[in-house]
Amino acid sequence: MKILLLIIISFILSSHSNAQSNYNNFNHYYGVQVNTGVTFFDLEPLKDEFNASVDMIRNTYNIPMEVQDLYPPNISWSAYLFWYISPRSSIVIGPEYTSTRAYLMYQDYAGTFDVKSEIKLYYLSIGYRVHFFEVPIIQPFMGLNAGVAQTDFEMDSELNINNGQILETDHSEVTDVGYSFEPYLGCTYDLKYVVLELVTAYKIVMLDKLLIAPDNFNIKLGVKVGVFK
Amino acid sequence: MKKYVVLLLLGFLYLNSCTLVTEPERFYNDKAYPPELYSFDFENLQPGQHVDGTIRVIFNPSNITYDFDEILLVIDSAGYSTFETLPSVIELNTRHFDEGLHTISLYVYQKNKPHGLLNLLNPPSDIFQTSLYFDRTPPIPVQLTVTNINDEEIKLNWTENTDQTFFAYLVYKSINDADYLLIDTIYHRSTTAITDTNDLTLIGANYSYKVAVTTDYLFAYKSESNIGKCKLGNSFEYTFSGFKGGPYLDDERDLVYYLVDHQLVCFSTINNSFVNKVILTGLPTSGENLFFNFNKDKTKIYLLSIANKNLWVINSLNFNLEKQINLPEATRDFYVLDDTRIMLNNTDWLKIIDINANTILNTLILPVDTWAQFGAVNEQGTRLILSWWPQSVGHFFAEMDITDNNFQILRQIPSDYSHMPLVITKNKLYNNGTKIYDLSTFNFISIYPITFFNSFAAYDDKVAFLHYASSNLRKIHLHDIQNHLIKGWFIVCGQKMQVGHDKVFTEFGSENILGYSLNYGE
Repeated sequence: MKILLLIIISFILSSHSNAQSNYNNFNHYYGVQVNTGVTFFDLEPLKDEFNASVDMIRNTYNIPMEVQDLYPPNISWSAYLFWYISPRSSIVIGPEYTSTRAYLMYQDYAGTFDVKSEIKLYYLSIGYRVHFFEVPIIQPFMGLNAGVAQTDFEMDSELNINNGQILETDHSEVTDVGYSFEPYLGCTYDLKYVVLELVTAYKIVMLDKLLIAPDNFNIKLGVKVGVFK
Repeated sequence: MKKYVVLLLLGFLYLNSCTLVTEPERFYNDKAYPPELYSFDFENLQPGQHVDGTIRVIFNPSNITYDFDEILLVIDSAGYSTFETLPSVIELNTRHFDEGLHTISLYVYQKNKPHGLLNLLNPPSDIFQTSLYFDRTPPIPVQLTVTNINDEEIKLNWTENTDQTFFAYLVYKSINDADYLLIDTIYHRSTTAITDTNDLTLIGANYSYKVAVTTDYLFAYKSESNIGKCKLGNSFEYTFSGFKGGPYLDDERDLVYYLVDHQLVCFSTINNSFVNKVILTGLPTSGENLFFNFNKDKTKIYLLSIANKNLWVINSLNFNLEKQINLPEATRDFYVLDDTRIMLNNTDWLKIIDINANTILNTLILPVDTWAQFGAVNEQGTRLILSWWPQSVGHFFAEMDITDNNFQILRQIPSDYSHMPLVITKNKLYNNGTKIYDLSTFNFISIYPITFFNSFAAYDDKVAFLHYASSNLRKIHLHDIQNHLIKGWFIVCGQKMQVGHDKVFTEFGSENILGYSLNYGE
């Protein structure tokens, strides 16, 4: 991850020194953009089931275990190729990735009990966006991405009592592929040689097998560089 | 401005440069602690002690101050029983297990266990453990010696038992070969002597004792000693082959009568001596009961047989048979009105008979649904009190004038149902043995709160109740009219005696009142 960050920073710095100067026409180019942001997951059925299971153990067996992390917001990464088909509209295409995890890790004198879960979401989308105005520096826009989505779900549990005298482990893994739709609003800020972009989006993910409702809300910050026409 | 935006961008990228959700450290529950194991000694049972049969111990540890779901008794590693309160009484039948050393554990299952992950395995919070040796070796019998001391005390001595499985000595007693009854339980091994003073009232009877060593509190497993015997005083015995009735008391002359075989026999209640006998010609030697009545001054005895319709009149002063007549309509219940008249009671009719002429002087057919059950003549010979039952109305005492033959009822007094013969003595009427009326006013004098007895006798302001004691023993309790117990004693019934060898016993004492027979009450 750090390497990726360094590459992006180097890319920005080099763009700053070598980019063309006709930034007022930045809408008339094609290029690449990299986004990073935070994804807020819904996952309500999964969270409810997780909490209910832990509540059952706590109430039935009087073991004060707590869920430490339950699929919290996490980082997302995406990269798009874009192409302006007019000064106020463009087409984007590219992949996106995000993930989240849940942890319950308990220990007492008798042993340990760990539950770990991870959900990974992969998208490949194509989208269309429209700028509201042709303002030189800040330009609001809206758009819609659509594509395919893949979800990988994993859960591992391990109960270890008396140093392995009682050891019970469990692993489950499910992969599902579906569709995603992502309407979004955002604005760009012209830094003369690169363009920054702030986007808020809600991603609807439709899966066949998994009933985990991985719809999510996203805030993304992107960097765009391109070639002027 | 642009520099700030670039710095903001760089900062955002830096924060996002690593995964936000990272594996946390384990939560450590430092309040959980493991179950505890205690060595536990039952009261009166040492670890490793030999026990047998069912043991019964109290479990009440002082350190169980929490709420618990249950306590499980575990023998070796198998659950045996559960209980839910403290203190608890544990009963364990050691005979359900092999002989040998066994671990006895008590698992206390706490509510809301504080044992962390072990709670998933439902562990007991506290375990109390000891060991006992289940031993089925029969205890060595003790040697018993029985000594009669002045016919008032019987001393029992036995050797001390030394078995580890000793639980108690059981002292049994049998009177005249009747069933052995447990009379004492002694839990101290070193106590090897007792003195029996209870129920030593059966003159001439054999008193037999035995002492058993039991290994468990249910007395299921025991070894019995030799039988120690002694005889109490000297009894008077009168041999006969068939018992027909008695005892019939003449407390004015201190005599008691019995009907045996084909004779009426009389004994003194002063000294048990035989007084006289009367041969009743025509009476079968067995298989029939006779009905007995005195006249008002008890100078004559009237015996009535339903089977052969005979009435015998016997002078009780000289024991001469004065009369023997045939009564075709002989009934079970009859009353002596005077020296020449008797009244037969068939429950639905009454007849007055002149026994000299053997003629019916008058007959009273009772109304339909009216019964006359029992009756008794007053001591003056002027009134007959009948238990009178017009069924649609209720129970009454009907006081009838018997100075003539007109069956004139002088008054009817509401009463209780009579299920036993009425008795009149000392101007008092005894109904069912428990309710006593003044014969002049029919007011209650007293009520005995005794409900279970087989029969009763009333005389001289006293009532004797006959109770079931065991298969061949009955017990008599003698009460005064104020309902105080005067004395009690046993009588023997004939079930265990051989036919043809029955005997009549009499007993006398300070009261000089009752005799008893082998078959009395059967």
